[in-house]
Amino acid sequence: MGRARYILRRSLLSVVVLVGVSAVTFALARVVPSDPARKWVGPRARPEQVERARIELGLDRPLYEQYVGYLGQVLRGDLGTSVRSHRPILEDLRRYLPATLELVLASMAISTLVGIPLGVVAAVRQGSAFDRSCRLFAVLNISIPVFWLALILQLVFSQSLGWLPLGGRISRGVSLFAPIQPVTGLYLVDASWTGNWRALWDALAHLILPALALSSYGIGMSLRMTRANMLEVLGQKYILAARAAGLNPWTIHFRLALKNAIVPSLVLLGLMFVWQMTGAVLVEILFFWPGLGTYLMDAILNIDFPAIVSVTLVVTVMYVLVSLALDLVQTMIDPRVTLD
Amino acid sequence: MWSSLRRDGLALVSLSLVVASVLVAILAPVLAPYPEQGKGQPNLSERLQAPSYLHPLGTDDVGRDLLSRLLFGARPSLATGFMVVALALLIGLPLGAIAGFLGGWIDELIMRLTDVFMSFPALLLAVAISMALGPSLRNAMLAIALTWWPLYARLARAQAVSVKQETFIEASRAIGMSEGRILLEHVLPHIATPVLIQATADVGAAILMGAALSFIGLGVQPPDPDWGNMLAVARVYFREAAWFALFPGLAILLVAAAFNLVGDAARDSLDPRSRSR
Repeated sequence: MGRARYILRRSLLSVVVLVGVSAVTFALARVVPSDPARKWVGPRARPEQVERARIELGLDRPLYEQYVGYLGQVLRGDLGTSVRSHRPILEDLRRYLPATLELVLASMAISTLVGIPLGVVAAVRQGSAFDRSCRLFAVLNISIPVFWLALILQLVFSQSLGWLPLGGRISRGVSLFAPIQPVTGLYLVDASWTGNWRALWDALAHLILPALALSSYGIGMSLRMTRANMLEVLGQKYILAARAAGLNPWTIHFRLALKNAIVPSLVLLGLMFVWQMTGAVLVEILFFWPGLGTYLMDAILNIDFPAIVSVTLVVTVMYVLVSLALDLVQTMIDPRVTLD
Repeated sequence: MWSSLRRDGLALVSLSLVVASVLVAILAPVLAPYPEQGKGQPNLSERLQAPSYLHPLGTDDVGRDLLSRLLFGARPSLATGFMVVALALLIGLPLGAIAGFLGGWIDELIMRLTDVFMSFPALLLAVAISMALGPSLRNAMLAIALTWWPLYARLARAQAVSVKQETFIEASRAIGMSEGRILLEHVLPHIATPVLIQATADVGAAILMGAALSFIGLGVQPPDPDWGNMLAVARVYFREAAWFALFPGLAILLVAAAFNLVGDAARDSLDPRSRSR
């Protein structure tokens, strides 16, 4: 199908999916829990207070109306109010999101920088001991529970060796004497931007362990996918021709093969982003990282239902948009892609 | 398949590990040195002891023998792994087969449904569903299965679409077989194999997700033992009692890795199209 048609259909698909996603989150927020009104007012409320909450929350109106109202709210940016803090959830999210984004981006960087080259070399040396160890390494990485890896890293690098801090994003000393000016919310970016080298170093020290813990699944995934893609490309006739023509192996592997193997890796990035976002929840808890994960954990402990559902909605919307963007980029590079 | 499996040492080890873990889960009451403690009975006089002759893996925060806890903890972990995959197959396989075989608006509808569910980050959706239903092992399994079924639906549909073209289907129609019977007797068996291969590899991932939910507090509730919720408690004590944090996680890693390796081996030997060998 033509590129323009593909773009149109793909974008339309995203819209449909987003509507579906909002319907599911609505169902989870209002329909499934036993009594949202009672949850809102708390366990010691009198019956008339519960009744009033029910009317205020619009629970006495038909389901269809409630959904439309919900949709309208969400589109206007009103994600509801946290049951626990009674603050607008959107505000809370805006404060916690940059920390998680920084963690996810750092971890994705580690995953690709480790996984992809290993995958390439493993494919080139298929069947060798190196290849076999790489495959085992990949399986171990995707089988390890992130929260355990985080704990082990803390034990070794923080507790035993004392090289790196246990948790948090920044040391108290730095936040008092050399605070980072907030520009993007990403400490590494902001610190470099303002030339605050002491803070940069400190933020980096705090970022390494959580990012490393989070990157394990991504390393495994990118190693396997890159290896599989490379193997497929290397099996093609034009590689054989290049070898027969006497081109040097470096050229063959990196200039010819890798460029073609890389394209499906865009899909990988999308998947990795989703996975890292969810894994971040687990890692943040262990490292006292003030991001979405910690926020979600608090929401769970306090049974703050609107918050939980809103975080799910926001992260899902982000994934849908990122995935759409990646697909569109892919079609720019490779016009042969089709829908499904 | 068995001959190539026998040659692959790693696959054999993993298969043995898988079988061993299933046996451990079933035989826990017999194998555990302190079965009552394994099930949850506290033993406060022996809190947080390092591994010793009496307690080979040490004790936990209320003095329970860690080895026994680990053995009993195998049950919910493995149960989650198998149940989640089974439920997801139960939902996804028929939906996918119907979608692929019948095509048209049913296909569109089911595919859009899978798109929606696949867009959710699995853990977050599982958390939201678990919270909505109430924290328990059973609800956790259901929640995770609800995030998993779209994968099988998609696989089943792809298979159904390709099988649809085969001449024997046309022949069945020609002799007057009803669509329903064709679906059941001809299409389903052909779809089953690739989906089941994927399912085997997925058990490991399902175990990980189950452990994650328990770790957060939404799966198995204490005092029932589960590797995930043991880690949640161990975390608090990791300074004084590193062994407490070490062993449950190691258990999860080994079992999940074993299932993944077995799944990989199955995929490599049964699926002629896979090129990872």
